[in-house]
Amino acid sequence: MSPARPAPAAKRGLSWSSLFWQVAALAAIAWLGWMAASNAIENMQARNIPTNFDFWHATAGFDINQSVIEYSSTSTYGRAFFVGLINTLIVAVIGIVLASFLGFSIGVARLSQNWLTAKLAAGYVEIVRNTPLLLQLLFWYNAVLKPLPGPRQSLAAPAATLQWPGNQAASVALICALVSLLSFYLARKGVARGALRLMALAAGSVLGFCALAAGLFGLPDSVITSASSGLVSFSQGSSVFLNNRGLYLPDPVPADGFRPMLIALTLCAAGAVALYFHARKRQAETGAIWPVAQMICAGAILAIALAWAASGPPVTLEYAQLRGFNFSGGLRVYPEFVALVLGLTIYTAAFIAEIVRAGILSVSKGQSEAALALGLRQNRVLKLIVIPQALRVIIPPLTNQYLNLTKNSSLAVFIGFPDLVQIFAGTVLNQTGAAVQVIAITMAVYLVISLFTSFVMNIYNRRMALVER
Amino acid sequence: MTFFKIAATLSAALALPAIFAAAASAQTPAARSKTLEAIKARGVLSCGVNPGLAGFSMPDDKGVWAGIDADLCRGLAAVIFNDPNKIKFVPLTAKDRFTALQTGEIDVLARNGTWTMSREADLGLLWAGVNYYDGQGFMVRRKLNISSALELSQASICVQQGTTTELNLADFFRSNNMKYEVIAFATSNEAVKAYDSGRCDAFTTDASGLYAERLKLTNAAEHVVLPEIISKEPLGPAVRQDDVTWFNIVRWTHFAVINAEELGVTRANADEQRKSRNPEIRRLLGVEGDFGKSLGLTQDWAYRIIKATGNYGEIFDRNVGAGSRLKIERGYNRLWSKGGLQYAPPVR
Repeated sequence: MSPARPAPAAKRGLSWSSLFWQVAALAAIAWLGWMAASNAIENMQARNIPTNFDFWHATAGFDINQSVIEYSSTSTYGRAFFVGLINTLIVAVIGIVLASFLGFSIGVARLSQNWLTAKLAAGYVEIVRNTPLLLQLLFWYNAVLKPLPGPRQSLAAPAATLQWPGNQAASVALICALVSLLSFYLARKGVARGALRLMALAAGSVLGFCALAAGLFGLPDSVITSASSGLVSFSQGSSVFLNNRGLYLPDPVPADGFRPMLIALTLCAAGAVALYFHARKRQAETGAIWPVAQMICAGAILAIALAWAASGPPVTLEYAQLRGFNFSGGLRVYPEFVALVLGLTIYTAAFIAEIVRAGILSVSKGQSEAALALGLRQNRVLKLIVIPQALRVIIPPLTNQYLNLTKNSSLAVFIGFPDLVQIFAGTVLNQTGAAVQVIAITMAVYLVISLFTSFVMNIYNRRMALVER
Repeated sequence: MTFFKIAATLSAALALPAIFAAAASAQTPAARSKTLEAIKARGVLSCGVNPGLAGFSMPDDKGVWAGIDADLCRGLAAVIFNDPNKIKFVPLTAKDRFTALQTGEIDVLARNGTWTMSREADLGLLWAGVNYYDGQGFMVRRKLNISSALELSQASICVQQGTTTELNLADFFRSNNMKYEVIAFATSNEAVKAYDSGRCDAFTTDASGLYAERLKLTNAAEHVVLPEIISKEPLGPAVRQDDVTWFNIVRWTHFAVINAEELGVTRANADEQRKSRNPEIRRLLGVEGDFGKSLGLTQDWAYRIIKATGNYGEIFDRNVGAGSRLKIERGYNRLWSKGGLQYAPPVR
């Protein structure tokens, strides 16, 4: 009557005995986990270590210097957690984007025919990936901080104000010139054919002439108000400051022209989508390829120029000012943040470079040779043949590097950047004494971030994977 | 409630093995003092100290830990083993120190820790006394030309994270309605380095720490400690609440050196003083009565401490006072009989 008696169920690939052992193992693990948990709770209670999450709503009482959301020392520990979480996410996202760009560039550079480029890239990879990240972070923090002057001796760039030409003539001239250039460009690229092409050329010439005329007509005026007629004017004082407290940039504050600009850009985006699908359809029908990306860029520039001319600048700039010891106002980039992002980017990029190199080398030479033989241009060979195949090899290890970067951002604590570990697993843990809860939450957060990143990358990977029939 | 219970269970399941190890040892039935039994069985006292704070605990050029906290541990080792060197010094960051004590990794935490209500009420610790009355201060560059902490509005301030310092700082600026920027570092070393490199206008910690850290700066003479003391920081050794006998041993180890100073017993004259006719001295040095026995110690427990480290005055002078590089005034740490706060109940 033993439940472990083997049954002839091999056909279904599952015997009663194996089922028994699996259930028994699962039960043993569950029992072990439960024992550990209840033992820990009991002993924590015996030692007066808090075992609940009451601290979450208690007043934090400490300050944090870099926070995207509202936070002060009277906020709760829960709020402090979110400050840290958001800071971690910002560093992770910026780091991943920058490391990807840098890594791809270095990876391609290492395959370059140019001896110097290839060797420099190889040197970068070997030096960076073979030294500990923590030392690199400390190096960058000190390298960023040490040479910079104090706030009162800040390096300053002259103030520059973005503004549209003050007089009508100059505005007309600029817009005519832009449209004229666009018309010529479209005619040359073969987007407009036949009668359309003639019209575009004609329009381009007429508008170009108009631009010239308006420019000449407006010239005396612009000489008089030379400071205000340019797109960028320089005034006394400074707008950008650099010192060992950070980089202070002008802070853009939405102005009157903000909404018109938003509308213009939305229209432009809608147009871009329509253009993209139209161009695809056209290519499918006629084989003609339109330079869609360039056309969208030109359209966007035109939309911005028109909206700006119609309703003034979209933002005004608020400058940082020296008050007491430090600057206040403006947009501030902290040295800790720069050092952390720089360190993580440079370190991870070295690994990504190697992954990219391996990916590209994995595509056999015959593939690109065949594509070239078909008459495809070099950049289209890369875009259509090499990169899609290389990505299949690149994506899985690339996901690893993204996860590493996110997790490595917790080293922020050593250079004073308030990330999740610094704020939550550091200060909050110490002030509340709720070590087990705080560490468990922190671990869970990194787990969720990592699983989410893997999830997204897996979807991308599935789309890129070779579809076999 | 149930959610939190489940969450707590789950989080506890992820807990470090240290907790279980500690739990196992804690479940054995108590003798007189299970901590003392454990120390004797182990053969060394495990003492949590600051990894490097001059005057409190810092390895000297020969690798020997020196400082008033280190000396407190020596006194304890002398009491237990009659050998002040049977100590394992465990250097701990501000962040890890309480967890280390709670989980039983160390027997006593002599790491310039501030005695606060929440640390006793919430963390389950007990302060055995105050071996240094301190208060938080600020250090700034001389060339900033300021003479008061109230002039620090808009300043950037470097601080070590996970201490009461961080909270006092926030309170001070909030109550004076001033703005500031805090940059918190994992270790005191990193915070001092950032201050030295000019990242911060001021560095803040307990005043004794300011004098100690100033020695690490590139040019110590360029920095001044501002006169304001913005908090009360009674620093002393802490133990767990689960062992009252052990708590008493640590407490009386501290009281012994204070009583010794008050009675004029020094390291040099301790042997001679045993022949003293003063009954207080005779009781302290174990010539009369047997006070150590009730704590599971020997009759000459206090004599051993004094032979190992000297009295409180000697300890202070050697580590932080006139006889040290720090040259800190006795101030509040004078004996009560000389206008200070150091006071010990009698051995009777």
